[in-house]
Amino acid sequence: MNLVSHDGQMLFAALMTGGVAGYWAAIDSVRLRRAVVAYRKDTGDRALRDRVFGSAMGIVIGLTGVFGSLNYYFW
Amino acid sequence: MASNLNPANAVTASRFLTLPPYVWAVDQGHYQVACLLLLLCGVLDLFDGAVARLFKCQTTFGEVFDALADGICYGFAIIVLTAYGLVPWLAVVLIMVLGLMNAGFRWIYARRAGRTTNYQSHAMERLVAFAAYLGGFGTLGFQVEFFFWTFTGMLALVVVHDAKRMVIDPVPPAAPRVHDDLPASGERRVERTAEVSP
Repeated sequence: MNLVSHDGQMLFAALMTGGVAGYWAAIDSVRLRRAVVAYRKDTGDRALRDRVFGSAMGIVIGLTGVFGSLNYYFW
Repeated sequence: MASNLNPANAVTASRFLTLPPYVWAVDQGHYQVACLLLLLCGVLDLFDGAVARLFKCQTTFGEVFDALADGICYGFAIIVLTAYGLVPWLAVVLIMVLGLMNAGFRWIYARRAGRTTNYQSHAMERLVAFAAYLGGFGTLGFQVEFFFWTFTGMLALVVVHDAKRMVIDPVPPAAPRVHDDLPASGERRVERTAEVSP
């Protein structure tokens, strides 16, 4: 039981993944900038350092999603 | 105090109804239908929070139930896909081992801190959100090896980082939790709930 063709299925997956991941990377870039600004004011705060690490991981996850989508079609 | 038998928890519980047809769809090879069922499960996850706010029935049990439903639904989907050989089993085993190690470190941290509140890992929160997509990738057969192995690598990195914070670093005093999402007003919401695990 196929609702769309195989190509349509893969295009849907690529657009969903790439779109969400790109948005995710952009949001976490803003969060990282804010976290770094706050961390520079208080470099001893481990919770702020965790936020910097978390946002950096968020950007890596987002870029992974974008790369994975592009990788399917272009490489 | 709001009852636990409320519309929001009913929506959360209804997510489990997508699991039996999901298994049937995977078994029959109807992967697009299976993916739609996973999407429905995800939409209900968004919907239950909105229902809770609409009917003003947020409860502590509801928050725990929601997180539990996430783990059961997405974890179940990945296990089903592993059983049918659609995703790399070694990556799934490593993800489970790393998840158990993380739970152990959290237990140690809770004992060191001497309180039930736990370490808030921003990186792990993002990885948990990413994990919700793994079932979709596996169901549609979209870049499965790439996403499962990159996820496993990132999970290992975060578990090592968080292990140092939870087991070696000194325990900070309980502090108000700051949400780092992006509110429209530009102001941050602060709750007096201290550190809470995802």
